[in-house]
Amino acid sequence: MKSYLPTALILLLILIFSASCSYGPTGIFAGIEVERKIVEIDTGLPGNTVQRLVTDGTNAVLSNGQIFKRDTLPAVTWKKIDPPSGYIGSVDVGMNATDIFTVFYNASGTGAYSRAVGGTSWSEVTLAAGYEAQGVLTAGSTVYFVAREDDGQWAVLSNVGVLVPNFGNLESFPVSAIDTGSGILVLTKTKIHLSTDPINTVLEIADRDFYGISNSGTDVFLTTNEGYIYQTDNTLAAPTLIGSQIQIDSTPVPLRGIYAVDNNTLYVGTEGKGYYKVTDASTTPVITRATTRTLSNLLDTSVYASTVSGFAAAPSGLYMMAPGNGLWYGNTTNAYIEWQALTPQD
Amino acid sequence: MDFFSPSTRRTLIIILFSTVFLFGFLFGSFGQTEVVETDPNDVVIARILGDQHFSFALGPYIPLFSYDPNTGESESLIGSTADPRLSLGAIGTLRWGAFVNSVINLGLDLSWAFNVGANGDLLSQFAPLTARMSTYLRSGAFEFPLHLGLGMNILSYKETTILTPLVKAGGSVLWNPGGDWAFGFNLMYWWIPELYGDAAGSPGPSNNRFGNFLEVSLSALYNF
Repeated sequence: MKSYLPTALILLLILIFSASCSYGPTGIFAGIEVERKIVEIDTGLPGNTVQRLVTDGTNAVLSNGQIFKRDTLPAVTWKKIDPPSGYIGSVDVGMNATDIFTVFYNASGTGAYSRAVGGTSWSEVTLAAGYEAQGVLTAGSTVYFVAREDDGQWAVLSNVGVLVPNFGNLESFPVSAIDTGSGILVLTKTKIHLSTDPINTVLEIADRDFYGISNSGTDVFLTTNEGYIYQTDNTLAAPTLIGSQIQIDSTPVPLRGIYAVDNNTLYVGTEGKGYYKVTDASTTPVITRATTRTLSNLLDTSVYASTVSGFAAAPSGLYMMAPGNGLWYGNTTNAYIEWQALTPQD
Repeated sequence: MDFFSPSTRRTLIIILFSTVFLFGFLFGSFGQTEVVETDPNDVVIARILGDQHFSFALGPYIPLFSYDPNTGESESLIGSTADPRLSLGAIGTLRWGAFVNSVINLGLDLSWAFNVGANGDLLSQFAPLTARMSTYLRSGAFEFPLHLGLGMNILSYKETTILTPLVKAGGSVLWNPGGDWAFGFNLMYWWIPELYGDAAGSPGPSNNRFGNFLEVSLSALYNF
């Protein structure tokens, strides 16, 4: 009997220790292989909501109520660019290779301004009579001002000197624009317009509200409030559904911003559910909610339960905008993205 | 690679040596010799059935690499200065053993080792029970045991705690200065299979890895 005692004790120990096991999302050594040191930097960027971030690949400019600019990651901090005299703060921002375009506001209204990327002063941009600037859209190398018409409808303006409508009489606010190479596409809630005059609605999908648009170079990808991702070509011919409706607990997930790395790799923001990564989008799409956690800190919780309104290209990675929860930078060269907070979070 | 500041490193070295030699000093004076000295220049160490020893070892614990059986690829666990993964750690081992004849010693080891992850998290390895067999070679006042151990390891990092098998193998150099105490230098290779099945909640077989570490330690050993 006694000879069985040590064996029984060992088995009991194994049982006790096994019962106290707890698993994380990855194995321990597998997690250590991909974990990267998170560098804390003081970005000098206040506020946790970035309305829009635009980049020319090297410089980045954002609007979070004020205009901030930074050069490259991670060496420099964001530097505030003061508004012109008489204005309180910014509504929106856009940029191309040479200039920054903004809409500033004060108690009496808004004003459209531009300055050289390396410049030191703002120049007012004159809009055609009857229009008030409300936003800025960047489509490739072209920047447009969004304006409210006297009759309450919306227009997208561009030109040299006095800005005139390229797209007029839009029924809802134009949220973004892209240059597909075949033309400029302007996205509103329910319609996508091609850059022709008079405006030409090139795509509507019944019972779908658009939120995000991104161009991979050859294809266009769209997100909807109903949880669908569509793929089409640069002429917006017959969109096809990628995968199926995205749901959590049988409830559709409202989708927001989208960023197409290429035709097969997409990042898709959601309302309050973090973001999804789509792989093999053009063939056999795999849509996975991002669970590539760092295992290390609170970045996980705050990113993966956030609303993600959009993405922008950054050196070696992506910027991610999470309204109310900060601006983030993720290095996408690693197998697992580890998001680094660039602004304070709630 | 600087995993510890110079002052921390100095403190660790002082603690290490002090502990080992304090043990030796405190217990060495009360020990009984088992070393047969027929001549100052002709020391013969005799072990017989029933001789036992107890030892304490302390030293650095070096992360080497992890092997992915799915891909056949290995990843460094210590990384680089620019891309650190695990720090140089430390290990402490309590060892008991008994000789079954003059050269074979069977016993149990209890160890705790740690390293620190890239973001300051503790990788803890607690091996409460490792069955060990050692074979002794001898020359003069020196013994050269070769060890093979098999046990279990409680591996813990961040929110994950798992029980893994543990295989360790290595050797020691023990110097018997003439009392019941011996002092040694140990090199032990730790092989830690981290294996997962398809059970719900488990990370899955794609996370299977074999962790490889090296223990380098100094020990004080009491024979009785």
